[in-house]
Amino acid sequence: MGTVLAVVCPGQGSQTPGMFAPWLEVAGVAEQLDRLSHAAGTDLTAHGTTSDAETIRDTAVAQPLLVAASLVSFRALLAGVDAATAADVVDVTAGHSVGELSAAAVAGVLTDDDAVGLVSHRARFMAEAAAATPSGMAAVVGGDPDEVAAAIEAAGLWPANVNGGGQVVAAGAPENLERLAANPPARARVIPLQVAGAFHTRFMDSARDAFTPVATGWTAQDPSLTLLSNADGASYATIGATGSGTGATGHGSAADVLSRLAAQVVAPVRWDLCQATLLELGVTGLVELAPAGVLTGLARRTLKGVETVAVKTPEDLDAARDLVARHSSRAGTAA
Amino acid sequence: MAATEQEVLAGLAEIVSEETGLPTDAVLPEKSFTDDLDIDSLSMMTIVTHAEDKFDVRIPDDDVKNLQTVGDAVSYITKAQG
Repeated sequence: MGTVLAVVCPGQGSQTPGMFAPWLEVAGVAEQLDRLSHAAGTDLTAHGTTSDAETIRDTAVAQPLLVAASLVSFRALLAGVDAATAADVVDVTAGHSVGELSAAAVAGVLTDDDAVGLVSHRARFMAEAAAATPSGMAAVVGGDPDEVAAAIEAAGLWPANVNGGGQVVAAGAPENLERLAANPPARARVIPLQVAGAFHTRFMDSARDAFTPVATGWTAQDPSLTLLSNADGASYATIGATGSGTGATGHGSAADVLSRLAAQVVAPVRWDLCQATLLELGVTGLVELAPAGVLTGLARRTLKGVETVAVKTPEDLDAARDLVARHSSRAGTAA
Repeated sequence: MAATEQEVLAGLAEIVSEETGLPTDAVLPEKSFTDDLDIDSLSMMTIVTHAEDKFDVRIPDDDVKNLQTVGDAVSYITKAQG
């Protein structure tokens, strides 16, 4: 039986105060973060060490911080693996919401600096949109999926994240979120989330409008490995929406990736469909980059039997490298 | 048929393990959800919702605040089955 390795990148909500502290002890990370801070236009090292929870919850800070964390952990992971590049090791990659920019860098579409640079624009536009009109998000846990979907729609909200495993995040106007919380679907709970606005809904239209010309003009390469899209869980190799074909290595085109990254600002994150694609691809091992936890947790429910490692600190790197060595379909082939 | 305290503990340990990745034998009665098991409020609510479903009980949000340890939750659920 073939093995297939997935590397997944977390989204907003996963960041914690001081999360860079252990990483700064790894050779080269301080310099990396300096560079990434320069690309982001914000001191990521300070935000990842001394900034408090409230400061790093601000989407303008959280987004570049998360992408930096994921990419720093990814490069550290690769450094200990006998391979030249990500494409020599990773079979498929995907990211959750803002994690899509980290995944784009894993797939070689963006350089690390360009990913952090681009996300800082995304973050700023989304923060501005959130400040302009009050809106919010709430997790809906449990309940029957059809009833939950109907209740969200009836409350005038949108399913901003469909995460699989009975977890949906509803988003929209504050009074509608209150309505849903007051009348949850049977056997379900509505838990308000501390985010600035209704990401992945039309409340972010102005952010999408501002971000689109920036994103589509950004320097990018065709993906060098299978990269999935949050919109529908599909691989960019199968998308070809702009007619740009399947790209240099048959994994899709840079133009399609950039255009979808912009469109996703107002579109639901279909992590359920991304996970379904991982299953179809026969994924056997999954590494979640820093700050890991959420996606590994979702994988435990939906990708049963898939071995996982959640990379939170450098202490998790050995286990991650071991999983990579055993599950990558590319590493260590016939000597 | 109502579950015994042991069965509730075992069932709850499975739910916590699925949610957090902790091994089931780390989910012991004396462990505090927040301090020992590092479970945040979203995970706690997810665990409580799954427990309500598994044991067919209701655990109002107000009561969740009083469930500091795994043992508190086990006793609550066992009694709520009444």
